[in-house]
Amino acid sequence: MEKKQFTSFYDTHVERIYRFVLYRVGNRKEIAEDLTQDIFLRAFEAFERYDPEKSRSSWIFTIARNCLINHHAKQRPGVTLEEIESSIFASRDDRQRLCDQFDEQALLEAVNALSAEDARLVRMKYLEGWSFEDLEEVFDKASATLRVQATRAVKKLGRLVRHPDEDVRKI
Amino acid sequence: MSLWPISYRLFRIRQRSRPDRSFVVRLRNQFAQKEGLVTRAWFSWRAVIASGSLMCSLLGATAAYAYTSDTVLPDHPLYPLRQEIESIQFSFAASNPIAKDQVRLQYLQRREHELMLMKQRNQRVPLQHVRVLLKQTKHLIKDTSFEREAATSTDRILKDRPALFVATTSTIDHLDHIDEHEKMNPQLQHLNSLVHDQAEELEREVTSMVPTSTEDVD
Repeated sequence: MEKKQFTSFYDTHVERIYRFVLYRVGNRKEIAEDLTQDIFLRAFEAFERYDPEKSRSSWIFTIARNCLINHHAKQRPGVTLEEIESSIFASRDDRQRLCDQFDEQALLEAVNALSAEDARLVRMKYLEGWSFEDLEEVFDKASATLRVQATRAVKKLGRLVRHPDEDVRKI
Repeated sequence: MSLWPISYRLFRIRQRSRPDRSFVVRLRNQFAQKEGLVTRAWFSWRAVIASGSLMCSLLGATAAYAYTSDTVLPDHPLYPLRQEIESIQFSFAASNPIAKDQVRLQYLQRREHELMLMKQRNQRVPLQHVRVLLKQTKHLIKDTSFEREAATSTDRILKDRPALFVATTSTIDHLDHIDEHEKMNPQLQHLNSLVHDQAEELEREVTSMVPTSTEDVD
């Protein structure tokens, strides 16, 4: 890909990547901005080598994931993305920081109560703004399947918000 | 159960966790520069408009100076610009015979004024410039219509102080100011006699063309 096309690529993905990072660094804006800048710098340097046949979203997502793992690894060596995912909004402080802004503590806690894959799908689809087509390669599933899975996950969320004590496995 | 409240609430969180606009723009500019679009930065429309406006202002100021300044006389480099502006002004007035005559008379006055200024400053005006002025004056007189309609608007100027007579006399007077040594130059003497001849011819033409008073016109 020609580097001249990078700004349009940046325009399409910057908000999603920023949110993707923001939720995974405990809603700390400064860190999210630094990491977003770092992710796009890496993407820019590799942009000419990028194969346009592949999904752009999946490509930038991979860079973002690696950057995040590097960032967390500095504090805790050997960390994986799954561990990072499971830690999103896990600490009370993180949730509090986000809820001070959004007043949606119950909802975010309900997202955390979903199964790992459902929670990840809900975050990426509804909180970060990826399309089902973008998520095909990330989840290695067809977009139609992801659509059904997301619908079910949101239904579960609705019930969890109304009945927070309910066991998610029984829903 | 309707899903939209949950989806909407998630969407609302998404909207409120947007990156700062300033951050997005700053980073975007950074990449635009890296892309090699730095060269485009100086080619922004703002710069083009600014330099265009500056050029227009400079041209306008020069043109205004050339048209109005008393220092712009036939030996001045901006004098051709003055003539050009006058020809444009004249082409605008060309459709209306009265306006055309008014413009011509205005030009006659300007030529007269230029000659007077040259005299006042004791400038040594090249003879060719005097001839240019005379030629212009002659054409102006020849082309000016002294028909009834036009005369009504021109009489006020011609009645008390006929510009063309003054112009002709000024020219001859001015030539008389050339120093004695230079007057001996045979080429100049020849030119001088030519100018005198032209001036006399002009005077005769003017006498026959210009109405002596408003009653003649009526």
